[in-house]
Order: sequence, then C-alpha cells, then structure tokens
Amino acid sequence: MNTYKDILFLLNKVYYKYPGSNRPIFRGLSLKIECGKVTAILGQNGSGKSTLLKLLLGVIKPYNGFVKRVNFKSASQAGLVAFLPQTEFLGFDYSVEEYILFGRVPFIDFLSSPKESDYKNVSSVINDLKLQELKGKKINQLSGGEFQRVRIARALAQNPKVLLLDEPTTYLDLYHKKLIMDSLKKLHHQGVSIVFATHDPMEAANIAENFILLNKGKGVIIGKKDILNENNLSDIFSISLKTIMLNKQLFVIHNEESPQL
Amino acid sequence: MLIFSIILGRYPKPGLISLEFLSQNELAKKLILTLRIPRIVSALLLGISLSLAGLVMQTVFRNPLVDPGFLGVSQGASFGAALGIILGLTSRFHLQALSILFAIMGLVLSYWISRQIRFGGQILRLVLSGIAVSAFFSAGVGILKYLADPIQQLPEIVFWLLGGLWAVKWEDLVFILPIILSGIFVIILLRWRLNVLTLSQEVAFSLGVEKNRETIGVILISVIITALVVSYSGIVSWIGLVIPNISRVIIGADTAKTVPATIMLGGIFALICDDFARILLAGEIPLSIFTALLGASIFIILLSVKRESFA
Repeated sequence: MNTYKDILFLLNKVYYKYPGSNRPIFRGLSLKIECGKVTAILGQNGSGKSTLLKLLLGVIKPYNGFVKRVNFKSASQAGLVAFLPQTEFLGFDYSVEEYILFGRVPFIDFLSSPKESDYKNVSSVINDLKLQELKGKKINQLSGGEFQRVRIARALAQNPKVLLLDEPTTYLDLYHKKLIMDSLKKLHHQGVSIVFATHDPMEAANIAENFILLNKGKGVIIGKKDILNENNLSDIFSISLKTIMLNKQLFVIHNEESPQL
Repeated sequence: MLIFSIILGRYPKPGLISLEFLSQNELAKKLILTLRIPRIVSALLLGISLSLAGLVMQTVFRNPLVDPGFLGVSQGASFGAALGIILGLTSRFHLQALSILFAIMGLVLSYWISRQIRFGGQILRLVLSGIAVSAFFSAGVGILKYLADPIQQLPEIVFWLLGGLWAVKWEDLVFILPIILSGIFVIILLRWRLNVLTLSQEVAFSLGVEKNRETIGVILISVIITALVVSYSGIVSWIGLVIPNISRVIIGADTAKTVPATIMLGGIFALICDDFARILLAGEIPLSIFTALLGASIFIILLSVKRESFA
C-alpha cells in the first residue's frame, strides 16, 4: 500500500454482526476499493453484500476495525455517496419529479424548499436518463424497470462522487438490465466511482473492473476479472459452475457433469 | 395560501345577528368579543393543529392511518380530565392542566417504554409502546367512569371525551396560543423537508439527513400541539386522521403542498363542524359527532370521485 491517492474506501479488520445475532457477518474483513473504478461485490444471498455496502456508506458502524473514506469525509460532505437500496418502500404516491427532487436534499437548506436551480438539475438528469415520458407519472404507475431508472435518477440528482447500488438489476428484464448497465457505464466514464452488489457473475464481468467475492463466513477473494474462475465461483455459490469465454464475454453455466459440491 | 386560509376561515361565522343590531346592542358586542371570537379562534386552532399534527405523524410513520394522538397523548389527556372531574377539580384551569400533564406523561411513557423494547427499529418501537400506553390509559378512563357518580360526573366525563369548544374563553388560550402557533410555524417552515423523512434510513443517510433526530423532533412538536389543543377541546376525533388524507387525495403526496392544504382544510373543516355543534340545537352538541360524520362522508365522496388517482 504505497499511496492513498487512488483509494476510495479502506476497510481494516472490520468485524460486524447484526444486533441480537450471534453469527458475525464479517470477521476481520480488510480490503480497499479504488477510486474512479467500477467494483462488483459478488456473493450468495446472505453473504453480506448489502452489509458491506452499508458499511461503506457509513450508516452502520463496525464493532471493531474501521472503515476509512479516503479523499472525503462522510458526515461533513453530505450527499457525495449516493445509495440505492435493493428495494424501496414509499409510504405515499409521489410523482416522478417530486421523487427525483429528493436527491437535491444536500443542496437545499434545512428550512427551505427546492429552488429553480434544483428543478433545472432534475430536468437535466431526467433528460440524461431519457425519462421524459415518465416525468408526470406517479411512482405507483411505474414498472419495476422504470422505477429503478427513476431511483438512479434520484441518486444522480445529488451529484455523487460515489454510487453504491444494491443489486440494481435483480428484478429487471434483459432490455431494462441493458438500459441500467449502459447508464452505469456512462456514469463511470464521467468519473463516478461505482460499487454494486450482485449475484450475477456475468453481469459483474460485463461492467466491473474490480471484484470482491464474498464467501459466506469464509472470507473474501479480491482481484481483477481473472478471479472469476470456475473454482472461486463454484466455491462462493456452493454449486458446481463452468465458465465459458465467448466473444470476450464471460458466461457462467451449471456444470451438469460433476455432482454438487 | 396560508393568508388566504386565515381570511377565508374567519368568514363562515354564523351571522344571524345583523350588523346594525350589533352596533346598537352592547350585549351582542360583548357576546361576540368574549365568546364567539375566542371560540372561532379556538376552532381554527383546533382544526389546524390536529390536522397538521396528523399529517406530520402520517408522513414520518409512512402510514396514512395514523392519528396525532396515538402516542398515548389523547388517551393520556382523557385520563387526566376524567381524573380531574372525579376529584372535583372541575375548573377549566385544573382540567386543562391535568390533561396536559397526563398527555405529556403519555408521551414520556411511550418514549420510555420504546427504549425498553429490545427489537425492531426506533419507529416501530415507538408505535408499539404508544399503542400499549394508550390502552393503559383508556383502561384507566374506564375505571374512572365506573367509579364516577352517574348523575353528575359521568355525563361530564362522557361529554369531555366527545370533545367540544363550548366554553373556551380568551383566558384559556393566552398561554397555549403562542406555543401552538410557534409549533405550527416550525412545521410550515419544514413543509418540504418532511418529504425526506419518508425515505429509508440508508437513503436519508446518504443524503446527509439525520433521520432519527429530525423524526423525533417533528413528532415532539406534533404531540405537544396536539396535547395543548386536546387540553381545551377534549378528544375531537377524525380531524387529524381524515384531513391529511383529503389533502393528499386532492393535491398529491408532496408535503410542500399538503402542509398548506391541510392547514386550510383543517381550519375550515373544524369551523364548519363547530358551527353545526353550537347552532343546530339549542343545547351544545359534542364536536366529535360532526367531525366524524362530516369527515367520513367527505372522505368517502372524495375516494369514490377520484378513484383512479388515489389507487
């Protein structure tokens, strides 16, 4: 570790367990996440992907060890890390524009309302993500894919340096998956660091440069694309998998020949 | 819009007295100044406070079925008033003081118990303990009713529980008016910010919002104005529940719009209901009867008319 310059998050011997639970999610997790890159967190359900994202965000604190945000502080520079939880429950039926405006909170004083500049910013985000036809709709009228894009728009309205996404394409069809992935690529080119959790290794390989494989209770494997090999993948998903490279793309299929691990 | 609501709110005064009569008759003047105007002010205040508190609570609990008095506040106030009646402390000052005292006790108890609960998020724990404390106090009211002298005390308790503004004078309002108004003022300032409290903990955090602290803050404000209003009006049901919902049906979910709409509707609604309560019969009719009757009817009508947009 020679320099901090390219590092975004630094985790040192992080120990975390949920209150009331006996089983720790992380026992001494150490890793670093690079600045300006797309990092994928891969793992089974329950392997701690969401927990890791929340630790990075800072909304939960490790029991032991520390999470360091390099080049920016968490509390004082509010809004620089945008977070998209896997699902979101809204108590009331906001319109798409009203909802995206929530992303402007860091720019709006405590006791005031959105200003002209906030509406302008929201409009430009809406144009960027090609959401014009959804603008007047209510959130409840949107499909899953549409809502997902609107949520990304909300995150972008806060002008984040870092985007944390928890399984951004889980419930989406192929078309909407592509749309979301394309917008993420575009953001990456604009210099936003992206960290996203997924359980789809193909999707991760398609967009990410760095990979964090969470192996339920057994620690992590960190590295570049080459760590997405049959051994590691079979191990973290507890099922025998086969990888195929086709047109420079990674495909992962079940290995029917060998018995389950 | 707020100014509009104030101007508008003062109009629907049942003007059965003509202006000439008023200018000639000293008694009528006195009646207007010392009885009617305080009553109108208190009705406006009641409608605005309860519906605004209801809106805030519904927003932060992300639940349109929440009532402003539910953190043990309404039941606490009822218990305090019933206790006062049983103990013979029937002056308005005593009743008011006792009901405020027990309303705040209800809140404190709810909060304290919520700290003892060992599961769930902060909000869920508050809801659960609020329900428990309300049940506790309503059991207490039941006991007091059972003990009460059925000729004198029982009707008085029942009447108080049904709510009304029949004897509000300026003296009852002077102390609580500034507190209630400043509470309302703060909520008006926070009208857009309230939206943010409907977001999840993590999203709010990523936006730099200390959601728990702000939530507790606005809940406290709502509870205090509710307790103060209940202390002079008794339990007036339905306003806090139905007016915010009506505003949302009409104007959408954005609290920057629903706060002014709720203030306007709440004030007008309470005035109309109170007018019915005092002029329909020679005697006084409990206010809650009208708020429930009118509120429920308007709500049903709105729901059936604006079906598509509400669904």
